[in-house]
Amino acid sequence: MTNDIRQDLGLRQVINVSGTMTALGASIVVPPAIDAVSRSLSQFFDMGALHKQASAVIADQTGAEAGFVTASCAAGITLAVAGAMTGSDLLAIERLPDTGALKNEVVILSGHMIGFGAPVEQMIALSGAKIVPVGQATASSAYQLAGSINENTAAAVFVISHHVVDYAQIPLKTFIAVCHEKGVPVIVDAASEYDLTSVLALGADIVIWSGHKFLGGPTSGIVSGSKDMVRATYLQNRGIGRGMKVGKESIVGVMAALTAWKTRDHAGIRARERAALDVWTDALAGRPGVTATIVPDPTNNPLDRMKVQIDPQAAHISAWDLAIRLAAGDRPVIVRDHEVEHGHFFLDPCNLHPGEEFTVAERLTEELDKAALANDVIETPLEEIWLAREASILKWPD
Amino acid sequence: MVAHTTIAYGMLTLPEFVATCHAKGVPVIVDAASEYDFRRFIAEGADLVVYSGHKFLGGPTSGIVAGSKALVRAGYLQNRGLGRAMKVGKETIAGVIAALDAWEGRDHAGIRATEQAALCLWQNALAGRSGIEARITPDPTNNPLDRLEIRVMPASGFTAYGLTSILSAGTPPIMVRGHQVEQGLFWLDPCNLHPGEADIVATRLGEILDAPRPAQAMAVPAKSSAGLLKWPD
Repeated sequence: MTNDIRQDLGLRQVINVSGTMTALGASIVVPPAIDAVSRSLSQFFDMGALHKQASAVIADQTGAEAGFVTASCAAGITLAVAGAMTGSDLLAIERLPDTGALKNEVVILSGHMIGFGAPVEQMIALSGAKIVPVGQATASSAYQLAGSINENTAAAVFVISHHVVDYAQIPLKTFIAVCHEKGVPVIVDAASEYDLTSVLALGADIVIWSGHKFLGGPTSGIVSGSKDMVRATYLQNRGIGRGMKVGKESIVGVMAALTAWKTRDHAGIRARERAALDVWTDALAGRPGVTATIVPDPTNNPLDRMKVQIDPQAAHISAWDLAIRLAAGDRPVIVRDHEVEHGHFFLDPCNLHPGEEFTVAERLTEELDKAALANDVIETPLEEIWLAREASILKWPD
Repeated sequence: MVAHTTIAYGMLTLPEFVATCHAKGVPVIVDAASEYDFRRFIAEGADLVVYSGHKFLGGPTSGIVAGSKALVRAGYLQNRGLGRAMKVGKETIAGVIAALDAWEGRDHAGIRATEQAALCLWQNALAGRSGIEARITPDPTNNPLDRLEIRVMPASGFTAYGLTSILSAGTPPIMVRGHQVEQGLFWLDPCNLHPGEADIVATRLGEILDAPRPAQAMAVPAKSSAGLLKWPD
């Protein structure tokens, strides 16, 4: 690839088969968004007017009354919760995270208190709100939700993510019904969901997406919902939202990405993703100890991935050692390894540049061939890997 | 904190502030959002200095934190916690790196000359106008930047607020530096102009001052948040 800024910076040219991950630079930003970002950077705007335009574009795409762009989906959660507490009270907004006499409790299912790179409950607490966990990690019921709501409850947060506990949780429809019965607004974290309308249509008061995941916008969070609640969220820019502000470039980029989403060739993209999965199926076919299956996205996004299950005895390598070896070297291939201790990882085809699927296949073949020839099974104790990773965090920037 | 909005008298100097804090083992964080000097505050003993990446530096919307390795590391690691909501993406990091590189080779003298030409143009456009005094003033926090301070007196037929409101309501809208407008003065800042815009500002000033005084000429500032509360309508 020519004109690759990673070369200028002396950085490796990462191939992303992990997903739209913040830690990897999220996604391939779509050309109309790149164009909008670059045309905005040398101009001045009435930022209030620009935010209003963005609101209209978000409303148009989501069916909501209004919309707001902030730094990230995480910021959207913080600011939506803040807005649920303050409404449009400008003084209360300046006083956060001191919540004073405001309602300040936020209910969230225990099974939704996930880490997505940071703890989701911390994003709520940043606003000054107090977390009220509902139920247990492994189960939640409507009576637990109803009983956790009181006169001090400002909002309820519901998380849609592949990270949440995916069984025995209150479904969103029930969650909304219970909260609304008690007059509590529902804020939904839909960071990585493709569907821009159905959660709002179910009755959620606020829905938040990442602008830089499937949508292919610049780094940002998109908040949509009722006009009053979105306004209260937007007004947090006069308070705690200032540290999470986006600039002109991100706002116009998100607007362009949302507009492009309308006309995106979804069928063509799925066909290209399928072709990549087929390349990998062929590359892994007949390899001892390797079982490759195509699996649907766990939160029903229109996206399939390849699940690669490794039997270390037969393949001569563990799933995690294979993932580490793929990530090493000058053509790092980063796989989706959040469940690697179960002996599998996933290959996500949705962030590939043309031809990269073949590099992935080559690297898989290379590493599996090497392992097959090894005298011993390559199986580093996983706990050692994890402890070494923890230790390396503290060495930054060295 | 270093800013044109801080109290400008009766305050400890930074070296005094640092000495006092360090004597008690307290680290000093300097908010230098809009300061041109990248070395001074660290040299004066600050442990951390924070700059905007998108002000004078001309980078994308961002903040830059510099200082001791241990404190910067601790700042960076907040991305695992409350910093996650404030994260920047690849585009911003690469943009800041490029803007910092470009800063080293920037033609500061050429930029100042262009800015001085704009200031002279505006000063000439205002010369001899009754009730208007225009003088070139240095930046209050010692950045290498002059502005045109415009004092508006009743003899002009305008208040400062009235004049600036007309400038901002026109086509194209001209937004001045009006944070002290209730004191009868505002500034024209020449550091964010595209080529030709200095002439547009001079022309608009001349047009407005030549014309009969409109109804809002003597308007006084009114603080109202009514518009905000209607957003996004």
